Amino acid sequence: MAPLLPTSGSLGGQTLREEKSIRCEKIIFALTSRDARHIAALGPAGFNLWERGDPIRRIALFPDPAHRAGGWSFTAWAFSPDGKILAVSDVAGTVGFYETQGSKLSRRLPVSESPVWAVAYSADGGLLATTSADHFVRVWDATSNRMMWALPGAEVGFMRAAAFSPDGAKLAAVADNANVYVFDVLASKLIRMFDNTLMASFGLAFTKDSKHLAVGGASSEISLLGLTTGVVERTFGREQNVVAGLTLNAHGDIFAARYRNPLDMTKPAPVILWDAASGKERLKIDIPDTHFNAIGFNENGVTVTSWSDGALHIWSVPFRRSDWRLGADESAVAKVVTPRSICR
Amino acid sequence: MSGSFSRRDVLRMCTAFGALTLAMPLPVEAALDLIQAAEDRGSSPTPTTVMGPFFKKSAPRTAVLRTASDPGLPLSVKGRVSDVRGDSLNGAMIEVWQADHFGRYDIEGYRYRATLVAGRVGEYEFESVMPGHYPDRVAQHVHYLVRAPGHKPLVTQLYFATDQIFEGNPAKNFHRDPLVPSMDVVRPVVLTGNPQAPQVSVVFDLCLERI
Repeated sequence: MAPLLPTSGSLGGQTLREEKSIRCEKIIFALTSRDARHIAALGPAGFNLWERGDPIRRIALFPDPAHRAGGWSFTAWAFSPDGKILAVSDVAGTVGFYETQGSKLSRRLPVSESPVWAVAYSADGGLLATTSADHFVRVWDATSNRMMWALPGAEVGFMRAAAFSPDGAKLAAVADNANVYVFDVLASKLIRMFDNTLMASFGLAFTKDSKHLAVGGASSEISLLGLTTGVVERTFGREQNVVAGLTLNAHGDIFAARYRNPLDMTKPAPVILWDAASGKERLKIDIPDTHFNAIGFNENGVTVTSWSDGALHIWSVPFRRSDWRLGADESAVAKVVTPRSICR
Repeated sequence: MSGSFSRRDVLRMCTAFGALTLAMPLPVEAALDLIQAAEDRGSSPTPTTVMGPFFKKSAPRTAVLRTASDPGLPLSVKGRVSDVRGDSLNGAMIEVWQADHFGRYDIEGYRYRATLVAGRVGEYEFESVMPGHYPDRVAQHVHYLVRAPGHKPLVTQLYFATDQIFEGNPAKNFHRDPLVPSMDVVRPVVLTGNPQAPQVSVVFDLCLERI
């Protein structure tokens, strides 16, 4: 691997390092818990759950029951904010709650008779939202199987992602029909439908003040929607690949966008950190022959994962908050620390 | 439908003229019986498939999606929009979108995207090119979103019986693309034009459910 990677940006001084690589079966999607302590990775045979540490520890492997028949079951997932539960939805219309400590399936929630396409936890972990192929958005008490409400969402197409606002008052869902739906959680009603985005979004994240919603998808850019104004107030994040995922850090000043090739998800595509206030690019993580499948923030920086050569690679870019506030113009080229293989 | 001929008639003629590239290892009569049987179920709604991630709103109203210089095999698609009672859905809005010959969707603009309006007897048609394959999907396809007042919106895809992925036997192999829901959306492909300028045509009728 080249000693210098085409990682660039105006943070300055940061180092992209391959923190760990884990020998494992093929991975298609990955997910990190909010504190980046747990990593879930989904492949054709099922999903693995790891706990980061030294050495990294595989907690469990949950096989996909449909794999033997050449099918697939799992559709979407979300860590609870405290990282103790991984909620995983499936084509059978249920959500399974897997304990990261006990490494077991603790509960199953029957949602719909049709596949569930998205799951999302509220910031306090008290609510769970689901979207499903019956075109409904549902909100549940996350600790029981009690449904709070169900409302129709997109009339056609999948609602591929959902997210609660940081204050827990709103829930948004994005759909293949290119519309964005925003619900009032307490009043259980649709408060706004954005039909002014042209193409489908796959990632979404509210701003910290819960007044704006960032969405990104097939249009290869990020649109900032004003929840009060009802218009697209700004677009940024333009890239040649589509936006596959969008995450806001805990401080609310960095959007991390994960991109993917629109037609071949195995092709390389970057992760880019965008300044939430200005929409300017601040850091680009772009490794040859690599596409990333997860982004996670923690207090020390950002963690991304990728899969290649029979291993899940965990990359980290540590940076200080002061670096972010500086807004320095210096260009940075990250150096790669010699990869270490922790688990075999 | 195809003018005053049934699809069976057209298939029979095409086969007789050697203009059919439907490479089924079935006897012609058996293949025709299969297709006729499907047509006899005309009152069934067209099977739905996924909308996919590349739908784009506000596609232009045009029936000509290709230009003369576009690479790829020219494709003509026509059909009729009706409901489960067989009533024509005059004025139904049909949005189609597909990849180009190289398997690429136009994200910046509206190449190979169009909005069509069904005519007096529910008829529609458009001119395009055979869509290319791309790595994340197995079979060539054209996306459809069809809307008519009083009816459930239909999201479906058109597939081609000659697609190499079906190895000449789409009835057996359509599952090779897990997103193909049934043989009803895999349509025969008829060669037209001449050897110097080959074209293909496909008939794809659409049946909507009432609300």
